[in-house]
This record gives sequence, C-alpha cells and structure tokens, in this order.
Amino acid sequence: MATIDFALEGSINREGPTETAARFGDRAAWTELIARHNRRVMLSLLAQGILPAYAKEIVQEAWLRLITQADAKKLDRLELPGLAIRQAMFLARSDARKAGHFTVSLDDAPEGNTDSGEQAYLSRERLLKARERLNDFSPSARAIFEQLYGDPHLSHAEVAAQVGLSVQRVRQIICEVRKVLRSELEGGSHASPRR
Amino acid sequence: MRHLGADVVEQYVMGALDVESSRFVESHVTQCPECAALLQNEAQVEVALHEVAALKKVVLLSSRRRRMTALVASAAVALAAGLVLVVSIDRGPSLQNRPVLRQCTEASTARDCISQAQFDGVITIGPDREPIVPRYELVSAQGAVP
Repeated sequence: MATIDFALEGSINREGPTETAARFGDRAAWTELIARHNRRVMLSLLAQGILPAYAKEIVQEAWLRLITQADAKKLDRLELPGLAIRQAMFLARSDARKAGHFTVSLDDAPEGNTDSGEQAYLSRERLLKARERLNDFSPSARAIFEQLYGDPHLSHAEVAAQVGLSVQRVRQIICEVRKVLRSELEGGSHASPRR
Repeated sequence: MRHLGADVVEQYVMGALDVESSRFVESHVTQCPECAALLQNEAQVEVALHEVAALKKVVLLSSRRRRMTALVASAAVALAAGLVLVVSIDRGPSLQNRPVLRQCTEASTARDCISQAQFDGVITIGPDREPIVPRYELVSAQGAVP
C-alpha cells in the first residue's frame, strides 16, 4: 500500500452551503461539518502511522485552527475534507519535527501533490483498476459502497436504513467489496465477487 | 502479547466497533508495533477506498466535459461548414480552384479589389501589407457586401 498516497485528496471538494455558512461563523454548520468529515481526517493521520490517541488530538487542533481562521476572515474557501486533512497533516509534520512523537516518520510523506509523476501514475492506475473492479459487484453492493465511501458518506446504520438491510448485512457486503478492492489496490488479483 | 485480529482492525478503521472495543484497539496499538503497522495499513486501504469513490465523480466530470467539448467542436465545424456552403452557393463557382489569398496592394485598385475579395471570401493583402479576413457575417441575402 506504500504507493497509495494523497495525490487526489480534496480533488473534487466543493464549497457547499454548509461550508459557506461555517466560513461566515455559523457554529451549527461547523458542528455538522466536523461530524461529517472528522473520521476521514482521522483516517488520513492513521494512514501515516500516527497512533489513534495522538491523531485525535491533532484532528481537534486542526478543526480549531480552521474555525479560528474562518472567524478571522482568513479563509477564502472552505473545501472539506481536503482543507482539514491538509491542516492536520501540517500540524502532524510540524509536531514530528519538533518532538518525534510518532512511530513512523512523516518526513517522507507528501506535503501536497509533490510525489513523483511515476508514483502518482501508479497510484491512479490502481485506483482506476479498483474502480473498474467495482463494476463486478451487484448494483446494490455498489450503491452501498458509494454511500459509505462517497461524499457525503453515510454511517453503516444510515446506509442500512436506506437500503432496507440490517447493519450486519451491510457490513458483510462492504467487507466483501473491500476485500476485492483492497486486493486490486495492492496490485494483486482476486477471484470475482459473488453477485 | 496477543495481537489484534485483522478483522478487528478492519472494523476499527471502518468505524464499526463499539466504543469499548475501539478504546481497546487504541490502547493496544500504543504497546504493539505490529498491530500499529496493521492499523496503518488498514487505514491506508480505507483512505484509498474513499479515493476510489471520489474517482467516479472526477471521471464523470471529465467525460461530461469531454462530451461538452465535442459538442461545441461539432457545432463549430457545422457552423463553419454552413458558412462555406452559403458562400459556395452564393458565389456559384467551386471554392476548390479559388486562391485563398489575394494581393490587393495596388493603391489605385485596392478598394475594388478588396471589395471583390471580401465578396469572394478570400483573405486579402491590402496596400499596407496587412491581411484582411473576409467578414462572412456582412454578406447579405443577395450576396452583396454592404
């Protein structure tokens, strides 16, 4: 998984009405946005080898800084989760340089889209292949995947309610999808999924 | 120390564990480098899956943009073809044998020469050596240049 990076992060983020409201100081909008994107920001830090307890602190600090910047009218746009991820990564890197808190060095992590063209190409190729493999699944499995991982992503319980399945069944389906896509992302092959 | 199961770590990054189990995972990985590495790997998969989901929208946006570009290009080609057809019909003779550039550098005859060139739909070089491009929109229904 080393070649999967953050090259595409935030690539399709757009500022919606909630983001605009938050940028103009609406605290309820901020609460909604944090609830929506917090896990995604957290995952980005975990993917860099930051331990969960410390990652939570960094994510909180990242949100606080964004709110402060918005209050000071320093944010021209609020595109999430990309901006929150970049802020959290900046804080993590900054802390790592100061104290070396982490089990994994962040020095090699891409600052933005600074990875080599070849690496970005490989990553994109794998993402595209994984995307193609998704077509091997049934429409309902694809819909569950889109709702769980798309933007805005829903919780397992919300998806279960929408598709009329139990939470347990939704998790079984997504685990199967995840297994196949994971194999594709890691450059391997996997048997075709059951339809 | 017993290691965490891969399925437990997978469920943790998917947000499928209850609070107590999540705390156990978080506590365990602080003391177990192997499980911390497993957690990192699972988180990378999870991030990549979000990218896969986002990719569809990017690809869709691109294909939509490509379709729009193709539509605009087709419209432009059709418009150009229409103009050529109008000029061709209005002028009678085929465009194929016409010169595409006409020299109207002689001051005494330049005005008539340029007028005729505009009417014929060819690029003209005027007395000042500057090219004059035909103004198709000025061609009236009768084919005369106003």
